[in-house]
Amino acid sequence: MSTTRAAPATTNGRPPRDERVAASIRTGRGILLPGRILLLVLVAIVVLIAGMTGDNPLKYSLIIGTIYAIAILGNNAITGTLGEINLAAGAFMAIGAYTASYTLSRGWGLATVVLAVIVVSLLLGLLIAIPTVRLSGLFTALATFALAYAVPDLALALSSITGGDAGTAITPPIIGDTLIDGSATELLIAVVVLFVVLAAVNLWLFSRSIGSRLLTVGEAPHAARSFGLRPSLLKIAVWTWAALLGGIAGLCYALAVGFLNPTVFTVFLSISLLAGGLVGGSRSVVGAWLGGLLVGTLPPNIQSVVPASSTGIVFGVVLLAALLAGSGGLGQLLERGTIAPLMRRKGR
Amino acid sequence: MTADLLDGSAVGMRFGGVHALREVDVALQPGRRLGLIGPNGSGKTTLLNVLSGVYRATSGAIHFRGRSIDRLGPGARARLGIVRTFQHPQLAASLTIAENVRLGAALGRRVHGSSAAEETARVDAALELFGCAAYGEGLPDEVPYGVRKMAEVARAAAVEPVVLLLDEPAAGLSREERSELIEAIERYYREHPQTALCLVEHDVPLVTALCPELLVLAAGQALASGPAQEVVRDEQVRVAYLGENVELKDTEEVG
Amino acid sequence: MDLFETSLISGIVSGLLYALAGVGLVVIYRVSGYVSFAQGDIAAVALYLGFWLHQGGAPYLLVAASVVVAGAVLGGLIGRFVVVPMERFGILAAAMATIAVGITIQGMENAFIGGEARPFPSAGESVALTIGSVSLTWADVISFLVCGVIVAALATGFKRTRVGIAMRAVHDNPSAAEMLGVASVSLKRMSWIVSGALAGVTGLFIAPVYSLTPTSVNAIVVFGFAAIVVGGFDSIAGAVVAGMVIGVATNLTAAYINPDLVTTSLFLMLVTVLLIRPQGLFGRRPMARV
Repeated sequence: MSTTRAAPATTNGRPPRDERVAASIRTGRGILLPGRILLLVLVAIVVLIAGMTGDNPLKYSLIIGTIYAIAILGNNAITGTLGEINLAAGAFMAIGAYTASYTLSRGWGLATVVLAVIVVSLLLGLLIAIPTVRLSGLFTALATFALAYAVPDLALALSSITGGDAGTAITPPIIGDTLIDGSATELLIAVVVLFVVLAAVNLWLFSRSIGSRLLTVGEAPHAARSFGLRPSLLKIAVWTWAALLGGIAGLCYALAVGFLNPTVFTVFLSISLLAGGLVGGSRSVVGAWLGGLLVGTLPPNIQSVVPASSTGIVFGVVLLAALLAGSGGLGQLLERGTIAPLMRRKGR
Repeated sequence: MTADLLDGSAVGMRFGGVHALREVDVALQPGRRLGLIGPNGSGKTTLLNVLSGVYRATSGAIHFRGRSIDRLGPGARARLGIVRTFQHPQLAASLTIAENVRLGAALGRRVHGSSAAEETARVDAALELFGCAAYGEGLPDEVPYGVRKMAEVARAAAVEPVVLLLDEPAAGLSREERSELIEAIERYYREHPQTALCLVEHDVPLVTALCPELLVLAAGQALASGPAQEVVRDEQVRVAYLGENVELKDTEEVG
Repeated sequence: MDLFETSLISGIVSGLLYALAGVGLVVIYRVSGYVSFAQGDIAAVALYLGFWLHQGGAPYLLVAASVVVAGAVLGGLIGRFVVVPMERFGILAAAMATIAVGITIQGMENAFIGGEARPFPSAGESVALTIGSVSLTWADVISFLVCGVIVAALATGFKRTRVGIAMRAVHDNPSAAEMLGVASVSLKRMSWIVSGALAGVTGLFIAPVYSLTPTSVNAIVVFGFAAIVVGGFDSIAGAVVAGMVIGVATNLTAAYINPDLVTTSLFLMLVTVLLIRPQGLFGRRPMARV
């Protein structure tokens, strides 16, 4: 190889634009950003049309799936940039859901409820993040696993907020003349818009210098420390972002299902969210949506064949398949098939 | 005599019962280029780790511009302008070569308080100087190993550091790439003559080409130091490190 | 005072069981650097087999032996065909593969067997001895002795036998293990067989107390995780002490604060130790390399 003399036009002898597209597909950043946002909007339109024209069970599935997608989007920030495993994504959802149910039962207006969820999610997220970021690898997985295991019991212990074993019904907020619950088209629109906005913010930040700093922390930790980055702060920010998105998802979840029971927030929920993220691809926002729809729509739809508690088979197999297939996931497949050829053609 | 920039006195580093470094003195003044040689396990990289703050020395004191930096971690020392490279390139796999180098330029911006435009200029200059310009858009696992090694040095150079600590930049490079590396560092020096350099390397001809002075470590202790030509002729050094009958000019790689 | 005494003594008895659950995890960790989240599920499958044998009138010893063998076989198969091949994607991928295997097994149990609790035979329900105000059954005593013997045997095995030393070497330096004449892949597979058998043994003592469901053993394996993290991954004696500390501490939490806070206290203990002494109370501090 020669580095200073007549080097090839690019690394692989491809035109520079193709090379950028290829790198962008692999990394989830870079030149495909506009295409990715376009794809995101297209999926949003499909989900909205399907939800508004289909029957109520379909609408409900899409709402729940999109809510899970919001939680997965947050969790993917941990997997996709830091390379850590969070087995407590369900805990973040529980925080948001119970904050919402408690404040709603106190007769708070929706705006203040949302504010409360954001503040509580950020504070508790920070409280969990500060010790967690000092761990890594297997130890992060073990600690978050123990946390996920504790959440349903902790919910039982806090029965004044959660209703204990009996669970707690959500007081649905009323906006104008509509009751916001799992059958409301307004809720579908709200969660879709929410997901699109959060996903776009996610994509944009990831392409900016904050994205490259996070990736340096995750992929070249020694360099990150030796080049003046503050790895702990950046990691805390990522975990807190995941907690925030989890909390928002929990709020929407509480509104959609109308009833919270501690057994909802088991370690199985967290594992499903992690699996959904990996299947979709931890760097892809559309992938997060597909993963969320999988987690949200699968259990109710296979209930006629096997008991709902058997969905573990599907998630287990899906998780194994995703691990075998590598990190790209469905989102990357979709990009390869749609926006990447488009961007290459545009460049010629 | 110029005032010391980075001054380590009687630096010692112990891991459990093992003394990796014992009472080593090292001082770097602006423009001084010090080569650090010694057999494997002699403590070269440990000294670099102690100077850059990756390890905290178990004894002795390290000062930067007269101020104690013993308690500062690697990040804080980097922000003072003490910048290092790693023997095995520590590049983020999902960032292009140019983006990886930008990490250095971004640190440079904080060290020198310069503008965003200068940051971009530093990235381009460093990529160009170290022969990585054609590979700037490539991901680390797509470019040849030599380019990754060069990018590792380019990232540190992009800081325009006050003190530059290089950890075996030539390890794994071909003869041709080594001469490109020497040439690139020489050119960097012509543009930034005030930089203090500490170069850890096995390739003695490469070290002597770049560094007028040498410090030889053996078993964690300073065995010899002084002008490069004197040190390599030193009988003790030849016995301890090079083997008695080694002709220096032919030393392709030792250890 | 009775409550305190009960908490203390039953805490020590179950503590050794936690240590045993933890040691089953250590066997794989020693060789491969990750832990198996499927331990409880491997045990559950073996226990269902034992349950049917018992229904068919098999004597307890046969039931017990079958459970241990079934655990070893199932563990061996999962390691051989699923998890060890997954290691080429990294140890976190392998750890996640064990999660995938675990929830698949749980799902299959729910689908084909059903999630309802089933009574599992115990080693003996009559009172064996009384310490102060606390009565221990034969099952408790046997559990204590068996756990003690197995943990002690493994601790010596790790230190003294060629395979045990090779196991340590594989983790630290795979090529060194090859030099000892033990192929690292067969060691990894062996570790899965051993740890599957240990899962079976652990299950035998858990199922009679908590009854048999697809997740009842899993619930105890979490205590095993805590035991090895608190005790230190490379110290079996540490796991025993930590298991007992956890057993007593969680019993006291349940007795004096709130039984629903047991898992929370477990999480807090685990995180506290990881933060203050990452190598565990009895572990060696690993040397950082750059």
